[in-house]
Amino acid sequence: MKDKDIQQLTDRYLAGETSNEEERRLALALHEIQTSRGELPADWRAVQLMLGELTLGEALYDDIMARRGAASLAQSASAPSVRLTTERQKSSRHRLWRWAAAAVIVLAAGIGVALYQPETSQPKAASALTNKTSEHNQRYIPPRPALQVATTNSINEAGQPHEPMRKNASAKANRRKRKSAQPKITPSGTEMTSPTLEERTEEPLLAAAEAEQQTENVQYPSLSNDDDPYAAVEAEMRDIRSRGERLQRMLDEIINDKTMLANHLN
Amino acid sequence: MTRSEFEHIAPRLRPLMVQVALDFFGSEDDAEDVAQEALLSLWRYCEHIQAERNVEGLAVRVAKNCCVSWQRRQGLSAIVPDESPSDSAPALSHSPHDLLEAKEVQETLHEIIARLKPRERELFEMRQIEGLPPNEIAARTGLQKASVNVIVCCARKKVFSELKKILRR
Repeated sequence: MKDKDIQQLTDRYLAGETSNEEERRLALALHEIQTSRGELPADWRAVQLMLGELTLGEALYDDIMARRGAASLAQSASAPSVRLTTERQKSSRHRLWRWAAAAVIVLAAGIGVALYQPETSQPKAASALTNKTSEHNQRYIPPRPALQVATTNSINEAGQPHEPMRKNASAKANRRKRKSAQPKITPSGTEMTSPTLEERTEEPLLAAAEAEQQTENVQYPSLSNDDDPYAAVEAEMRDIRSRGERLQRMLDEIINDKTMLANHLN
Repeated sequence: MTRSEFEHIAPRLRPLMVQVALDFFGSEDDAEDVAQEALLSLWRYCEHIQAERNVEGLAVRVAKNCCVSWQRRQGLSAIVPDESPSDSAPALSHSPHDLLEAKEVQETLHEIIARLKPRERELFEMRQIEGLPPNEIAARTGLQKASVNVIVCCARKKVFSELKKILRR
């Protein structure tokens, strides 16, 4: 407050025209001047004494409380901006999270495609070049030898007719192939698939042994260890399984990376 | 006001003072201490005023003054963040010479006020010590507000001229 204002307030105070608020302002201003300049003019000093310590104490109290209120208001005003900043950070984190998740999914899909595509496309390419797909398919068609032997044995031991076997078209076709590949080699000279009842009852074990021999010699004559379709399938399955395990490991690593990224962002 | 009269109204005034101090310090212990000190100060003021006066306003003013004095004495800081105690509550001079001089001036002031006419003294004290506004003084005394202002003005000018003479010596 300027000296001129203080003098005006002093005059009004002596005239009894000041309010309580103005008197508190006057007491505070005189106190500040006394503190800064060291002493007051006699007129102002007299007014200061008349105002008394109560007015000054009340003025100081109200001033302090007002400044506290302003400070708390400023803090509360700054708080929303902090909250807003936090919300923005959170939303940007969420956006980053979404992008990271999408990137991980795309990466996983890409890796999966890259791993699986050459393996699945290799037979096609090979078949396109060497036309071996038909061989593979043909090798899949015949049933496993054990199954064939068992069925043959059971038929021979039970002495039942072979009509049920004939119902199976693929088995019939296989038998035809075997017959065409290997002519009748049974001791009786008759076709194995249609033995007579006497033959079947007299030499069931021999027929079974012949049938087994036939299946081994006729059905898979060319299936060596290298060309065995089941072995190839099993090897392929093993290969696929190992690739799957590798892919699983890679996916685990990706998930770990994702978790680390999430922890880092948090 | 007699001591027994003051003791009768003190339990009613104490919670007011505690609340003022609690608002200022935020600590119940400090507030209780300040309220105790404020009651003692209030008794010194009430010795000179009539018993029928409403002293609640005076009790609040005394409590506020005691809060500031207590804070200054305790050297408490951080009334407002990033502000030193001297900024928030400027210290008065505390040298023994200054304190003695201030005490003499206060006694002189009381003598000057005591020499006023009874009506002038009454209205001066109601306005200056109790802090009552003119319209409330008018309502309590049954005088016109303009008359209150005139009497208060006259009393202030008398005290002012006497004080000025003493201060210029």
